[in-house]
Amino acid sequence: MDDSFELEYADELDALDIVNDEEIVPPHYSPPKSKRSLQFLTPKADKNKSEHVVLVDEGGSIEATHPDNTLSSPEFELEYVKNRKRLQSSPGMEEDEVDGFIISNSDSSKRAKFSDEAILLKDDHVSHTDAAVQFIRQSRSQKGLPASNSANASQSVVKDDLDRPKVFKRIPRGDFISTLGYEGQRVYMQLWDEDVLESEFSSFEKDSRPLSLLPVPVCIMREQIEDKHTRKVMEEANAVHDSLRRQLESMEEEDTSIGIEESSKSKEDAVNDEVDILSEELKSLWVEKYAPRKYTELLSEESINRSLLHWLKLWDYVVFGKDVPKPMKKGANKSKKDKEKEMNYKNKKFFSEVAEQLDKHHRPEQKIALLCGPPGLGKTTLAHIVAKHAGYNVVEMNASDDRSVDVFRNKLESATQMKAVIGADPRPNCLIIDEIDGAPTPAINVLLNLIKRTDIDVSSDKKKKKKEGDLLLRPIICVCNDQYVPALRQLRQMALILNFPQTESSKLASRLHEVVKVERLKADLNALLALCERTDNDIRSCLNTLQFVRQSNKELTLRDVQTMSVGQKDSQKSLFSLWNDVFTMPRPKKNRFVSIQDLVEGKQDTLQVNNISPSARFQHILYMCQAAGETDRVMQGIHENYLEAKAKDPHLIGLNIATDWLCFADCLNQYIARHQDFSVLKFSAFLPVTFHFLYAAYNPSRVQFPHGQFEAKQKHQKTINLLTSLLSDMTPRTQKFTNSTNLTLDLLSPMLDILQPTLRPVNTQLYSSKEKEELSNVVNIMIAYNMTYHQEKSPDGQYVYALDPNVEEVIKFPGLKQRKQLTYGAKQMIAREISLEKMRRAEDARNRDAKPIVPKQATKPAPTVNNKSGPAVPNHLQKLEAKSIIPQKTSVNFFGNLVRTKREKTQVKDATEEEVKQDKSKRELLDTIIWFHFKEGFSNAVRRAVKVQDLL
Amino acid sequence: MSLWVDKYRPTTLGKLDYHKEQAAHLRKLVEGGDFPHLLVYGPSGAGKKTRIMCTLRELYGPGVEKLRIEQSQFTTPSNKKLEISTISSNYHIEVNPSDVGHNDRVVIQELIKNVAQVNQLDTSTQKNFKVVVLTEVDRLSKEAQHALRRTMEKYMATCRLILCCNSTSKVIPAIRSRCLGLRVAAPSVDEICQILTTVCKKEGLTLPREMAEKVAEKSGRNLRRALLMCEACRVQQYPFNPERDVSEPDWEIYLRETATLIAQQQSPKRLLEVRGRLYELLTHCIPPDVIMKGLLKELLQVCDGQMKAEVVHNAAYYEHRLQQGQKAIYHLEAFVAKFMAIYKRFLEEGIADIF
Repeated sequence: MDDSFELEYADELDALDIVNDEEIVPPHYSPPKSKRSLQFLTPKADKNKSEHVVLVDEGGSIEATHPDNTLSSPEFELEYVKNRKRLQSSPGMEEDEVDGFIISNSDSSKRAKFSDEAILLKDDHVSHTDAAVQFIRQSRSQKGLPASNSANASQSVVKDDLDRPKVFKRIPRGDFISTLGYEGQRVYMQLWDEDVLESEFSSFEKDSRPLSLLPVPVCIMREQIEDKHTRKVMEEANAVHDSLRRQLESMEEEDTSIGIEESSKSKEDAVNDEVDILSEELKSLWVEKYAPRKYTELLSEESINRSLLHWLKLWDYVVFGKDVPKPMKKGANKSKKDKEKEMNYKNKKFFSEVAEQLDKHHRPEQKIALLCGPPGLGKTTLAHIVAKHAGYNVVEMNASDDRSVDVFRNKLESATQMKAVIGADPRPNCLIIDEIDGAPTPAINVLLNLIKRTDIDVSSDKKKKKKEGDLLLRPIICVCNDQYVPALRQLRQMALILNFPQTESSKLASRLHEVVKVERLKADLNALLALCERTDNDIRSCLNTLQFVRQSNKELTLRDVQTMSVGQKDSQKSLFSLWNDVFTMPRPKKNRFVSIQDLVEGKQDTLQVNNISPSARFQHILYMCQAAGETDRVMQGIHENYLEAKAKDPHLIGLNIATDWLCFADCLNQYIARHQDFSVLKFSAFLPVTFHFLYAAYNPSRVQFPHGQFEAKQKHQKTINLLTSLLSDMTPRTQKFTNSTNLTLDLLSPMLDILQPTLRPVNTQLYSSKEKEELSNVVNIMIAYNMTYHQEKSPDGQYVYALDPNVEEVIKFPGLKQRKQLTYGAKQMIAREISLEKMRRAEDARNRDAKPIVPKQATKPAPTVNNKSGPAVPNHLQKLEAKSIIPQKTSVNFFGNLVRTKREKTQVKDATEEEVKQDKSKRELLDTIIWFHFKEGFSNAVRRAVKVQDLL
Repeated sequence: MSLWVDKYRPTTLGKLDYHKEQAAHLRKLVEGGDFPHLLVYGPSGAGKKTRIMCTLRELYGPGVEKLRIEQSQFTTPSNKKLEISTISSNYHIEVNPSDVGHNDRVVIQELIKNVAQVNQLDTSTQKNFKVVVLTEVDRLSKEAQHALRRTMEKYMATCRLILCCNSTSKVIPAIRSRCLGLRVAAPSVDEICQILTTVCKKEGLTLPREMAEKVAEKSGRNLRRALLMCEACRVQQYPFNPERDVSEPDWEIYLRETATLIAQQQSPKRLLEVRGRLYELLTHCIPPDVIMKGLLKELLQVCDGQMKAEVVHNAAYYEHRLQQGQKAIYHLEAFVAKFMAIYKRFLEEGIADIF
């Protein structure tokens, strides 16, 4: 079959070549034949003869006539294409083109004539070519090859897709051949280049489409479903919107709706001028463009708006005193009462009440208003609008300004005490301090002083006429995100706190819808609601996102919203919420906004379990940790709480993983601290993730704030301090051989036992020599280790002697039996002995200082002379005995005066007269006998004989 | 100075009670005149510092015993003031650089420079170098140790170093190779017994042999502790009664109780309880490695053969991490948790075997 086909076309090709190149006039040219052949073009054409038709109108849209001939073999087609030049109509000649089949019903003879004429007029060579074609056809029909049938059919299928070839009535541009229409008129067909066709073919092959069984394509059906759904959602949303509107309208006066209408009208006007919008689009942010300009346009909760406005109105007497002194107040009172009713059923907890009464200067009790809430709720906008509404000139300070104390004070005073003189409309100022939670504490204190100081000044000494600072006579509105910043603590107490709840998403979405309409961005309410949800109802973020989308394309679909990475604010959550999230298994949250596409494709499962899928949990915790920072605190919190978590872990494998992770994180921290290498800090965020997967539960026990480590650290520090104070004042010899580790591990525990010998509760005088020795031993040890007993008053009012430093605390552990204590009396006695001994030693040391070169004889007898201990005492103890009160040795008397010995006195000979005089009297004194008498108890009283003349 | 520990501390090399051969070596070293840097190491209570003092006395005579405490001030490159107390005589200075934490490098550099740059005035009668004694060298940071190695060579002419530590494993090899290592091993139980007896004799007391042995055993071959225990016994009751228990330090009892708690029950709740006790120990300044060792020692008693190896291996692993980490509690807790898991598995297997 192939062979035969090729054979056939070889003939044809030859013929065409001849036509093109040599322009041979065909031997016979017979219109009737062609007419006959053209008759096959009718839809009812015989199958067997259809090859002619195809040849004549190659590429024409004849294919419908051969529904049966769908069989085709691609290779075959390709070969065929390669070996041929094709007939094509030129796309540039559209006006002239005539479809043979359409014309088919018109008068054939007329046509033929017309075309004949045309050809005659135009060119002879056309007729030649025409003849050539006719020649081919004839030859083919004569051959009557049935094999060519299928081949032609397949080729024609191809042609159908290309949908190009046309038959022209006039001569087309480029190469062409002419032929007769089926009614005998002359038509022309263009010759196409082979290459073009080839590319056409390949492209066709690529997007060949499978056959569909459905009468309507799936894509269309989908669109329909989506459409339906959108309509439904829209209806619902509109209903919600309408009901809200109605509510609003009933609450507000008429002007609300008017305002909105006006605004929308003005916006619509803007729409009309498209050029304007485009230029404006480039210039301004939507956030500014669509910011509310009136009180009625505000999106924030009505009750809050009102209470702020009401508070501001309370200032009216002070600020605009002349205008409306009391009626205003009364009016305010009235409205207040009404409002209270409203507030009662609204969520009252969000804000503190507006204190109604004015102070003696007719200012409201709360001097400032503090608006707080997460970003993007319109706090700043509210403040501005309300201030303007109440007739103030707004002065704003925000984080971009310098907030050092001096600058802050200057600004504060200029804003509150000055007033614009120049300008058409000099209004009083209202200061709005934006982002006050970021201000430094001293700056906030300035503000506090301004509020407080005036209070005190005026109340106490009004008559004095203070030079510094007048009353605060202008309202101040502060805006912050976090009202619990420590710096704001005091401010909070004297402020009207208005806590912003989240904007209702329906409210926000409808507003967005308006904006979107104006901006000609295609977005359905569904997508907008989803956007609101993603951004946590942050107006600013929503608008910015929309504007961003508008820049690139004209449509915002639900899909876009879900895939966009918007609304992921770098918001820091409290550590508590982080800990809670770690230990809580998230509940499956139904995704409210599922796009229809997903529903159809069966993806809704994945979307619905979105937030409880492991990867989502992983990402969530990781993200939170990274945002929270403070890895150390996070780790502490987890460490203190994870053992309380309910987790099934019978083999303690999870526990081991957890503790290993803690170890790892700790090592990481140490590495970071030591090498200052913060590149590894990122890994510490994975610790909470691990704990989340190990210990998350649906109803976890309450997370406790981690105190343990802090307390332990404090105790540890206390112990260290005790030990260092003990060590630092030890005698060098003992200190040399001890350190804090020794002390705690080996020394202190037995030492305390050693320091508690059994002492009889009697006077020391009555002690036996052995007991005295024991006592002195204790005293010496305690002095060597820098310990003493110290009287303290116990909580129950009793006096006790405690060790100082209290090393007992260092070695005492809870739950163990108390060591035996000395009696109060014994301790007292030891304490006394210690101080006595210390005194003696100090005296001793001073003696040595006074006489640096002490003759050996003077020191040697010292221990022996005063040695009270009996002969049983070993030699080594003797030097430890007191040795301070030996007459030979004492060079200083009790009062610290230098007492000169005779040997010294002889040296002082060449003194001045006065000195001699003094010396004389002194000598007399010194020559007398001196007694040192130890009184019972605790006084080193000295008694000696002094005559009156000595004093004179 | 009247604890027995202090009272009967030998002051010359000749009076040392054990490792006499080593003492003789030291004396020869001093006599040879070419005194090297020393690295004295050994367990606590073995007499390292005593030996150092004896050596110093051998070098300089009784003058070294006139000690004074001085506060030295240093300024870090970041202008932070550091204060550290030193014990010094005319001939030597002793300092514990690890008192200032991670700034020890500054102390090492400045202090040694100060000491070494001043020559001894009278070199004819005395040694021509001073001695710097650094204690707890194993707690020095790596930076400080690296700072030390050059200084040691540079000021060799005027200064010798005596380093004192418990273990050489944390001293960098560069320093170990520059010093003459001197290991002071803990005295054997017999030696301790002997010392206790002589001390008691000097005190005019009679110490029964059994009592001495008992105290020596309890002390864990720590002579300081042995002497203190003995003295405490003496204060509590004399004449000695060998039947009576020798009182132990509270922390040891507490640690033992903790170990018992661990062995009793294995659960997160118990771990929480144990954590509280570990905190208690740590806040009483018990070093974490001592806690780890003590726990291991107690816990091994409830383990059987195969488990012992596993437990010891894990203890070593967590002790290593403890050294690398910041907060000991995590690592101690991790070890306890690990032991609980191992022990619980062991118990369950045991029960399974029964059925």
